[in-house]
Amino acid sequence: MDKIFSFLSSNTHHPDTIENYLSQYKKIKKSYRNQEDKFINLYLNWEEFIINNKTENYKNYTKESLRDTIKKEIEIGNLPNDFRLIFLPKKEQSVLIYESFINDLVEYINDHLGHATLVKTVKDLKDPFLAKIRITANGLDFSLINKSQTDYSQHPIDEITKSFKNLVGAMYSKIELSLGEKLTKDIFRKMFNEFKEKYNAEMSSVVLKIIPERILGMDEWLSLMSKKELEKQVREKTQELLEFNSSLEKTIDERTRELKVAYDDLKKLDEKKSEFISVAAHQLRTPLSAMKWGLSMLNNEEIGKLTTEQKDFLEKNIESNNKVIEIVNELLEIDLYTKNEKIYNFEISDISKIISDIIKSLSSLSRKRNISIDWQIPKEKIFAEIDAKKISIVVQNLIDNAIKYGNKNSTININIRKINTMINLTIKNRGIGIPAEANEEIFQRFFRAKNAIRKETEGMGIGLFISKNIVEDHGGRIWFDSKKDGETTFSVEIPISRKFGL
Amino acid sequence: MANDEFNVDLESNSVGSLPRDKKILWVEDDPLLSDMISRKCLANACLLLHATDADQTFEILKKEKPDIIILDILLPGKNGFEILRDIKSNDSLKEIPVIILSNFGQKDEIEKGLKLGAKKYLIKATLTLDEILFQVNDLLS
Repeated sequence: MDKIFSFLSSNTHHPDTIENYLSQYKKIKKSYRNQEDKFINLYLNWEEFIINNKTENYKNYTKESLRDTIKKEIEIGNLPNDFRLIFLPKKEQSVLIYESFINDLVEYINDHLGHATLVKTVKDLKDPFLAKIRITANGLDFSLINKSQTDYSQHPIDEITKSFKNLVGAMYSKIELSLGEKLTKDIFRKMFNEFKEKYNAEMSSVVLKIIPERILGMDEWLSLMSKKELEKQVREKTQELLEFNSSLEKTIDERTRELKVAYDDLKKLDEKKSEFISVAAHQLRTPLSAMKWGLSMLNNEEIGKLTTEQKDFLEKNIESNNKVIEIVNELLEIDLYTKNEKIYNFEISDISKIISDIIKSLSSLSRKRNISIDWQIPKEKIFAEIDAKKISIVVQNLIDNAIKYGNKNSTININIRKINTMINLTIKNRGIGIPAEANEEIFQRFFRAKNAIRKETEGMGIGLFISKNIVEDHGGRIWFDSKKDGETTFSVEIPISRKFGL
Repeated sequence: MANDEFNVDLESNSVGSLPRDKKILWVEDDPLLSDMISRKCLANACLLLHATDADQTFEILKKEKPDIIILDILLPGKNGFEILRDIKSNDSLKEIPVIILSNFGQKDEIEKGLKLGAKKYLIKATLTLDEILFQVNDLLS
């Protein structure tokens, strides 16, 4: 021991410091209690001073090189275990620290819970590595582990740590069983603090690796850990986080680029699709015109007289022809509403008149389905600043849908009222209803709910898409409510004046 | 569904009368449509001057003064808009009313046609020949 401290003296440059540390050393030598622990503490403090106060004329030691030099020049084999471990390689040092801490625990269990409990605790773990620990009347004998260097060098430190951690956990449980949680935790804390007094922060924090997390809460962990160790861990974590962040940023950048490319591709594809629809629709229109004109002339008997049967037949063909033309018109219309080239003519118009007109134009369809329309024209005209033609499209679509998807012999209720600065229109029918899974998509172009297709095979799935566009362009909103029994209400809300729009 | 404000909805055109004894210059390159047009005009005692492209159109206009010109847009060579521009920039021709009759008719095209001086812009596929001729008569009377 003398040799070690005289070595430290010869490597210290500051005379006052040498004197200070040496006087401490002499004091410890004279005392009787915890002599060994105090030497450890003094050594570590002195060592730290040497490392942190490098001078030109002296060898500039790091912690490791200083310890290595001592190990070479001074025989350390005779030093007590707890002191000796300072000079050992990291792995052996850790294991000895573990053992030292566990020995304190063992002492406690032996004294308070009895030797049998100790034996059972170790045996019950059935850990092959821990099986090398001999249990003596005084405690645990780790010599088998420590001496058979080859043996434990086969075990990675993580595995050894895990085994010891399990042992500490089992011991904690045993103590907790008889003393309760609070007291047990206090004991652990006290033991750890004693350990911290003996060694420096860095070495005592090794113990934390074998204390199961459940024993000490996060706050306790933080308070037990030294400031230095904490700073070190924070630095490490911060570094990890920085690296993670920078890799995250890189990943996000990459993904953003990928998304941008995908978006551009989709946009191009969408433009191509629109273009295709537009071209195809125009191409279809010429032969369709010829058919329409020709069928009409035939039907008017301009080419020759027709029998009743021929006329019937021809009329059905005219109907088909008109349907195809309508589909083509719709295709071109959707193209228009998909592009941002909407032209609106806002004028003060009477909305109730629009509704009355649409109902009149759809009367033959509703008669055919035996559906009655309940519509009371409001006593006062309801004016709003709208594009009447566009709003007609909305009203027409909604009433047309209400008829097409309504039950036979049912009634459609149409209602309009002014609420403050908004006009609220509701169209309620009883029919097939809107299935819940279609809620999200009902206003999307080319979407038709499955039950709608079953009921009415024709249709492009664009009416509601266009309606929504128009309503929103008016600064309003459109929504629906469909009950399980098929009662469905579509609501449209538009501002009476543009300045009240959403 | 009403397409736009320039388009005509079918029901309001189901009544009307056909033009008689009028001289119509009809520019249309599709043979089948042209055939039906000539039958129709013959039946209504209208004189049909038929052209399939810009050259024929101006060839005819050198000799004849039609009451009305019905003009397609998609044509071989010069398109209908260019023909219309030429007609309107010619002092001796610019007073002749022109109806554009095309299947090519989105918003901006319709606007362009009307701006160039067409009296109406009709979509072929949405109207029968009778309905088109009602519009012609409507314009001439």
